[in-house]
Amino acid sequence: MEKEYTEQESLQLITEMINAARNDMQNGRGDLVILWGYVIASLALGNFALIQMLGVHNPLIYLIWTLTIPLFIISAIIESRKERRTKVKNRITSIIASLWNGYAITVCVALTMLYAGAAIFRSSEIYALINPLILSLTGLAIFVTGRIFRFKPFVYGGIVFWTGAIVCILGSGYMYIQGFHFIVSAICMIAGFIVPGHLLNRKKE
Amino acid sequence: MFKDLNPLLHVQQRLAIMSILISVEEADFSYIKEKTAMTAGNLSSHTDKLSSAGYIDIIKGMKGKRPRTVFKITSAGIDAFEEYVNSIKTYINRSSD
Repeated sequence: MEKEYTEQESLQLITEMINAARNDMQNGRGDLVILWGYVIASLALGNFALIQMLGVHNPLIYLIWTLTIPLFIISAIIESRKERRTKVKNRITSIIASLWNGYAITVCVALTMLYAGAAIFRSSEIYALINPLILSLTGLAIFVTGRIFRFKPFVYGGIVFWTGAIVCILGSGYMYIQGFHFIVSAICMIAGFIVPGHLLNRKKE
Repeated sequence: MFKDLNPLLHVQQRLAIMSILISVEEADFSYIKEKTAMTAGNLSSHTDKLSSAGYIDIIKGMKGKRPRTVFKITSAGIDAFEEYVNSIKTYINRSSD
């Protein structure tokens, strides 16, 4: 049965349907952020502990970061399962996915540049840029995510990451605690990923 | 009264479908059915009309082992929807004058 109605009712229906679709957009986005937050914060603290135990010049301690490879695989599996269950695809969700894929590629390119630079110029000081660079890129990605979702804890998280990046590089010059930047990274992951991730899930509930 | 309004869109069910599709990249059959609270037969009939007018694309495929129907608004559909909304605004402005 086709029902005709007034222009006010038309407008109301359009608004209701658009809002219904928009509300679905924010569902369940916190889980991956929380997972990455806990794992990276644990790895950073683990790396700090290993530096204290084995010394900063032992290259084996950095192998702990290879654990991010299974994390990438687990994330890809979670995302693909979620996509299979998803009934609707939003432009904003696609933009966010592209942002984080672009972020992952940029981090890989930046790491390649830094390691290549360190080898070419035979300068181990370049390694001091690794953490600040990753933190500032992460700050950009989480800040933009927060702005797109209109979710302030992610926006503040971005600011925490940018501050952390500056603290890291200054700390490399003036702090005399070996592996200090890993503590900063862990704090950034807690404030920028774990806390906002939980807040997002709570908002969803 | 509504002679300028697109008669294809000025039907509650089809307007609801178009309003959802204008907000998303694509949506599957069950999603639209759930949001619009229509029966499957009713939804099929309205989406067929929208598809015949070139306002939406109907993509039939498989999701795992299950058949899946996905709807996507076309550029002609976006134009028609925008024109419809502008017409409504004109009516509302006229009646408030």
